[in-house]
Amino acid sequence: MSDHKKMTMTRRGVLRGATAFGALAALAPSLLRPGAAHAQGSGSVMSGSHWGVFTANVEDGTWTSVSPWAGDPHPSHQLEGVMDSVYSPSRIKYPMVRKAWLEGGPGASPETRGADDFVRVSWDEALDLVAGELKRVSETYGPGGVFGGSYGWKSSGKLHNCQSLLRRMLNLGLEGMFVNSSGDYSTGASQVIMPHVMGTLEVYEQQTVLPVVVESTDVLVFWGADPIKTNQIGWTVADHDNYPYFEAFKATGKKVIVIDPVRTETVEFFGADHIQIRPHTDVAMMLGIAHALYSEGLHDQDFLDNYTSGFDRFLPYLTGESDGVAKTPEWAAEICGVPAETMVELAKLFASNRTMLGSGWSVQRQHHGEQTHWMLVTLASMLGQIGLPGGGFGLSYHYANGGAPSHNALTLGGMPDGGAAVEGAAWMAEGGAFSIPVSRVVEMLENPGGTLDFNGTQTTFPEVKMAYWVGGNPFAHHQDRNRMIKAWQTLETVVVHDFQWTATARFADIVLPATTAYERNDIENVGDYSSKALVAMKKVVDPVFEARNDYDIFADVAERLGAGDAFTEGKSEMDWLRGFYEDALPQAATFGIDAPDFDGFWEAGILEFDLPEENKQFVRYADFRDDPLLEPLGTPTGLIEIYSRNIERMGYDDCPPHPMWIEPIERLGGAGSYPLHVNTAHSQSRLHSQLNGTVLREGYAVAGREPCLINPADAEARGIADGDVVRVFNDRGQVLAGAVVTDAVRPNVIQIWEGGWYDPAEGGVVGALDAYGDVNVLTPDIATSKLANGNSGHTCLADVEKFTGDLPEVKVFTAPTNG
Amino acid sequence: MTPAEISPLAVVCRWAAGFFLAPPDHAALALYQEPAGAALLAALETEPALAAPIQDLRAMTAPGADLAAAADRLAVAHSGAFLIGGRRSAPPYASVWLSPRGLLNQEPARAMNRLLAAVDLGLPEEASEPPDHLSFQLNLLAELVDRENGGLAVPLTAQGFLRDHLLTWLPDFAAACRRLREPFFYAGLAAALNEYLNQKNNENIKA
Repeated sequence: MSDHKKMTMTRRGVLRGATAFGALAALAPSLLRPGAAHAQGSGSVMSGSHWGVFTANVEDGTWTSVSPWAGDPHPSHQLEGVMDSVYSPSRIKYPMVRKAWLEGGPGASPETRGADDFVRVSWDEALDLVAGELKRVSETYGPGGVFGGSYGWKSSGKLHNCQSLLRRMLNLGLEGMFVNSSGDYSTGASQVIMPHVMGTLEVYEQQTVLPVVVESTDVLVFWGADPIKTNQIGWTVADHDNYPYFEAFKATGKKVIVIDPVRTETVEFFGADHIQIRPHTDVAMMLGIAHALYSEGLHDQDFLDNYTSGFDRFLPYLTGESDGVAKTPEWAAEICGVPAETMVELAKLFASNRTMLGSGWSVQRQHHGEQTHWMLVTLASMLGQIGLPGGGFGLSYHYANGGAPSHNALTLGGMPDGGAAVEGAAWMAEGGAFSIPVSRVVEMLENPGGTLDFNGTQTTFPEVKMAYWVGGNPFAHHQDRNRMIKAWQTLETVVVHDFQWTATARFADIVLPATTAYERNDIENVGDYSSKALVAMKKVVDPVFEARNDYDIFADVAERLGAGDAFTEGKSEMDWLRGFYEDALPQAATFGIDAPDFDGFWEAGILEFDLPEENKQFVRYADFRDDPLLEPLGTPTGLIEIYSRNIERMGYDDCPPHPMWIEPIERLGGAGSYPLHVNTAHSQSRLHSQLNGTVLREGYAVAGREPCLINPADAEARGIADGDVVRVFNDRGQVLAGAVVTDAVRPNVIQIWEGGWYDPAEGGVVGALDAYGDVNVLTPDIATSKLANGNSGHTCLADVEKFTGDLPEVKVFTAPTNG
Repeated sequence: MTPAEISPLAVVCRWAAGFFLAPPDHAALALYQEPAGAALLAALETEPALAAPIQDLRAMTAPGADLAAAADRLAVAHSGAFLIGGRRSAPPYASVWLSPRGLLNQEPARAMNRLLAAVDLGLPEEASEPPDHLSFQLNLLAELVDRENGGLAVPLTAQGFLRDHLLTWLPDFAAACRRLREPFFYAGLAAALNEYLNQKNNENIKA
């Protein structure tokens, strides 16, 4: 007998003993059960997303491939990442609680958030903890104790709008006793200044439609806008309807001018004239052009007289009569780095052609960002083309396909948040017991009892002790990461729902696994502006692990707060969707829409709408131009306010009553001690931080990190070669990135996209080196001004060096095969 | 199964699978202080490859040991290693290690579904982990071993399953476990399992 056989027999003998004691059944049981599972589904399912309508192919219950809807005229390559996100190894699998919090109670060891261990708990235990904390904090600290102003790019869908659901739970379960937020990070400055200037939000409203632009615009300007890149995504379900119009405009051969520090996708697409402005100096350049218009007598005085208010108060500033500094092109050139003669040429070109000044929003996410769009409107007013076909200005041609003509569509309601009805845009809602401008959340935590000036009001910061965040990732979109980490330590409890272990989840105490939009049913418009269709967002696959719908999670929390029935109204997921659709059906008769009943719609999967000819002719402010008395703007004067008496009355030292060039806290050629401007544009291949942890990253990562564009001259001066890992740093923090040496970015400017996942080499440590490249480690957390309190994420100086230390691994995405 | 049919390989697989699926609680650890648990440890200890995790387990469950503290430490180690991902974790799924993009629920998961159907077995009703979780693969291997030993027909030999479905990623997984932030117990268990199953593979599973 061989030794092997002897040994085996000996083991068998011992095992018999173990078996006799029943050990195997208890400690080595079979986990599998008799009987095969039913075969899981295969086939294709249509659904929708921020990246467009798509068809998912499912094999044996798992999602295997994705293809765009045939009705999408310009599918985004980002769609490929959507499927990846569902099966990311960074999925949150189970309810988890930070160990120190579980053992020590609320507020335990907040300084170790971001580095602590988590332990798994059951759903019941997790829900009890969440409901218990809401009660405790509310009772202990009053209505200002709980922050429910959660913000972010939640997934598409009318029902599973987790931010509405959170507020619904707080409104019903805590009787509205929570701290809410208003505004957003995208257009924080513009959405507050524009109502003073134009009487509307402007930034989320329909533009002069693109068929008109193609027909009538001679000169199309994109100022700090990259619509070829950013129109890939939509707040609802992206339609991509702008792209055929952009193709058509390109085919006309008419002039396109892009003003941007970086040679963008839009420059390349149109073969545009590119003016590489120095970042953060847009207002100065606009003033230089305005001065040239005025000094050359090219401005439209009739328009200014009939349609605007306060140009006479602005003019002395433009000419220097009021402050001794004429805002000449030469003056502007010193600031913005664009030759004075270019500004003079632009003034002549704009005035002698039908010109559309399209602007992005980056130019208002800056210190004193309110001034930029105000000055753009002033410049457009001097040109006198507002309300004419193809002329004037537009602030949304780059966003969600703004400018695509609107179809005759059914307009669906959404999940009510259980609070008082709010007129106007949902993101301006100020429900709750308190409300703060959303980007002031860190300032609020740092300064309880302090005051905040905001748009003519003064708010007292509540003492917030619990934050509840859903459908957002503030540890990506908020500025000054290290300051934020310290502020978060003032919270006793942080609850997060998400489907991935984002940095925000890692800095929480209670983490609940939510489904993705593709593991539940919903309904949504296709096209934020075009409303070209309704799509049934059908569940593609079953939820993975123990992920649950936000709706169900909040229903259970509400139940524990005594408001379960009020929250659900006794309705299931499909009951709500049917209700949204059937409530909208009466509109069908009004618009002559041939709409099926809900079952027919759900079966078909998509309902497309007609595009009336007259909607292809929409010209923004045409009615106002035709008759400013009968069609006044919503401003105090009914006119375009180049001078605002309301703002004058506020008396803010950082937001004067007419547009002005005001030095920011730091800029190239101005204040600040670092030599490079950090441009924090959006990525070509993700939506903020969404899809960063997917296959798309393989298309852009350099040395496994976020790419950092650097001009060859700046790279050579620092001994940096293409592909090197670099350390980007300033007084606020330090990140690693991968160098891309290119003249696409102007000298003294580097670019790192916003939205890279924060991956500190030492988790939870303030000042830790970020291994991957979250640019908001570097940016300042300052308000644009007292008027709007928007964020200033594009105001940032730093320096770069080749990294020669021990290189920390990028592990935040947990993809071993890529690691 | 009668005692005569007991396979050490199958026992080792089922025993290890339990740890990877969920950390043992206080009550489960207490079983090792009972005669049944002691007998099982004695049996497993005859496998030299398993020495390290058995030693750990003996230390955790020695008379007078703080079982609650041990269970707590195991829960933290399990969570950090297998549940929350991120820096220095070790996803226990074949798909993550074998698919081109390192994703969950890829072809290895579908292959497991097909194999389970072929032997007329399913995941437990309460299972929320995918079928290519290490624990379910270990259990399927144990089942194949048992069926072969019992002279039953199998759609795939235990040897073939071990070689083509488990050892294709177990070494990488075990290596990742060595780099865990909290390597307690699981790094040793993964290494031991890897060594043991590789031995079995080399021996052509003469279990």
